[in-house]
Amino acid sequence: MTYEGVKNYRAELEETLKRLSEHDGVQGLVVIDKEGRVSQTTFDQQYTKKILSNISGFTSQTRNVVRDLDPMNDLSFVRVRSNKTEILIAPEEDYILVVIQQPSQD
Amino acid sequence: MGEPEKPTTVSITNQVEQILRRIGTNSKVEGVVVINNEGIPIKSTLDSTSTVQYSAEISQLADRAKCLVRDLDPTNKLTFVRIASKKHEILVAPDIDYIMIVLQKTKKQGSAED
Repeated sequence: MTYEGVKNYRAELEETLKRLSEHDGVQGLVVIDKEGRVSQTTFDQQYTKKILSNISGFTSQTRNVVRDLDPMNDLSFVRVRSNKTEILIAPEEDYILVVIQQPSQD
Repeated sequence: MGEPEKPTTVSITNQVEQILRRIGTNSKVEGVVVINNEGIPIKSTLDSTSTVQYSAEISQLADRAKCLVRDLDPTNKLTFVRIASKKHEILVAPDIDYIMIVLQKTKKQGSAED
C-alpha cells in the first residue's frame, strides 16, 4: 500500500467506526487486533480493559466450540443479549469488532 | 439436619412438550436440546452423540457468557446467546433451571423472515 493508500484506508476506517458508534442505541465499540490488543475504542480506558480481558477469551472459546462440534465449520458472529445490553462480536481474520448496544427488538 | 434436599428436577409437562414441538416444526430448525442446570440433556431431537456433545460444549459456553455479562456489569444478567457459524446458528436460552438450545439454519439458508 502506498502512503496515500494507507492514509485513505485509515480515514475510511475511522469514518466507518464513527458511523457505527453514533448509530441509534450503540453504546460504543472496540476493535481488538489479532495480537489481542485494543486498536480502536470509544469507551473509557477502564471499561475497555474489562472488555478486552473478557471478550477475547470468550470469542476464542466460542470459536473452539463451533470447531469442536464440526471441524469443517467456523464461527461467523456472536450475539450476547442481556437485560441491559447486547454485545455483538464480529470475529474476522485480522481483528475482532465488538459493539455494545441497547438490546435490539428482535 | 432434617430431610436430605430433593434434587431439582424439571418435569416436561404437556405445555412444555407443545412448545418444544412447535419450535421443532419450524422448517429452519434442525434440532432442539434442553439441558438442566447440571448440563445433563433432558430432552433432545438430535441423535445421542450430538446431544451429548452439544450439552457439554454449550453448557460451558453459557456459563462463560453469564460471567462475561456480569463482569462487565454486576447488575446485568444474561438473557440469550446467538452463535452464528457458516453452516448454522446455535440459539441458547438460559434460565434458572434449564438451558434451551436450538440449532437452526442460517438466515441465508432459510426462507422468509420468522
